[in-house]
Amino acid sequence: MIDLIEVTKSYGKGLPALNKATVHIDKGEFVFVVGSSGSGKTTLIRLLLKELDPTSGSIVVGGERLEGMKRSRVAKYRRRLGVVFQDFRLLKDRNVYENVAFAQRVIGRPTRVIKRRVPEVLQEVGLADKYRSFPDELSGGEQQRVALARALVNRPDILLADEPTGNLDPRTSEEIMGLLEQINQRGTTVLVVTHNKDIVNAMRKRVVTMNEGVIVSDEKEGEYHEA
Amino acid sequence: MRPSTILYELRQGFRNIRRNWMFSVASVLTMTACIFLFGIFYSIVLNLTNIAEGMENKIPVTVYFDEGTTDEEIELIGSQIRERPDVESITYVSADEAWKQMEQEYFHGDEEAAKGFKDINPLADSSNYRVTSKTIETQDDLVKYIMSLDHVRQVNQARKAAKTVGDMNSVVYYASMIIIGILLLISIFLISNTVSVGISVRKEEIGIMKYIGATDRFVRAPFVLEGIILGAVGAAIPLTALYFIYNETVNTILSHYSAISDSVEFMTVDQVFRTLAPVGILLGIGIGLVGSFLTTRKHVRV
Repeated sequence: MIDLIEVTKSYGKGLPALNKATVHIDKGEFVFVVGSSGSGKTTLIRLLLKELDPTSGSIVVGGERLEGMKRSRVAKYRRRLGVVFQDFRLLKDRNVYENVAFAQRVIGRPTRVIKRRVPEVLQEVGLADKYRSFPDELSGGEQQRVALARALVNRPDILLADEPTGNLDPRTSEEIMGLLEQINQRGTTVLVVTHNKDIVNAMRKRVVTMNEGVIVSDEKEGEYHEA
Repeated sequence: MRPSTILYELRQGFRNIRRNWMFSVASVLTMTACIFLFGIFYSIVLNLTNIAEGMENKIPVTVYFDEGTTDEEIELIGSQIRERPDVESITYVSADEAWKQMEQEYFHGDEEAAKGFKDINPLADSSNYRVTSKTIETQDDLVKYIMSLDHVRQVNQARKAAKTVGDMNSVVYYASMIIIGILLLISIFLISNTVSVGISVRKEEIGIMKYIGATDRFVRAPFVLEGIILGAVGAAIPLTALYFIYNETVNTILSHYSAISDSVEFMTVDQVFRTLAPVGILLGIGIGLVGSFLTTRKHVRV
């Protein structure tokens, strides 16, 4: 599903943010990418989103080679991905329903499809009764659920989560990780970038550890190792 | 694009305008000033062109004869001119008639001054033919032909008077083009500025759109629509105002200044607006489109 082959990303002089990283992720896998700040985790996500181009190496996602991909193709490619961030990135002037519907509107789904699909996905993330609330009226956990619903509403093949529990308390973090696991069990490939040791160790999933841009370990049912 | 998506994009366009209403108003006002001036200059140029053409067509060529030319010879000249297929009309004006006309034009209300010429006709050698050509294009050939006839002393062409109006028209035309050009650039700049403010306000939303998989076209469309709407409104306001102002001005001139109304024929408001309205609207929309398109190209790279 995701193949990184000898991928290097440099922003200028000095150490590269990602240094000859090679990793293969199968369809339906749940993978944690862990490491301290500046280890290259976020660069990895940005490369997979095709927000950045690698300095060298090759990235193939779902059979599509990202280097050299035409600009006109990038939008279509991104529709195959769902993405959630630490800061939720919700539109503050729109309610829960509109925030989720926005993802469908953007890709040109007809209104009747949106009206059917948005309540479904809000049900999945447990927010069916809060569809009229605005982001500021929700807790951090609820806001992250909205972000998750928005990421899932277009039924992506891959879900990328960049520090999804970074702004949440331990209990809410567990709930969010539980949701991600459910999503994964339905067939979506999930890649979670985090430095939340407790969650990584509790879930016993595949763990890719990074340090200064280099993949230092890749363990099935792994644990969070401090670099 | 689906109708629901088009509606969504349109709503976003109006939303942008509402959000940055002060910039939007500034853009519309500049555009209004630009199209208003354009409309005024356009109306003036159109009328001057019309007047120049009218003068060329209406004012006849005047043919004067050598001193001592007999009535038979004058009659022969007349029949030679009449034979030409490009002659619309030919009228003989005797020296007495010429003087009577001049008396009426120049000594009207001052008949005492005219009495000084009681016994003499100062225009004794001014009997003439007034010849109108069918088209202005053939007038030069006609004049050349008449000049070649025996006993013809002089031919006065209306073109000189028309040329004066034409020259004036050119000055107004070029001056207006420069002013309109400068205003167009200011309008494009202001629309571009309004749209770029809209983009910076919606930066977060645009970022989310990109992650979700919005195409360049989808992201840009509301901003381009915003520019088009501002341009169209900025054109509609001055055109509506000009319609009434033009009508009122022409009516006032015609009813108060008979000297002008007798010699000059103004174009009707409908004649002027047949071209001014579509050109003005297209100009407004064009400015809006160019201003917003260039800005989104620069700032909204997906």
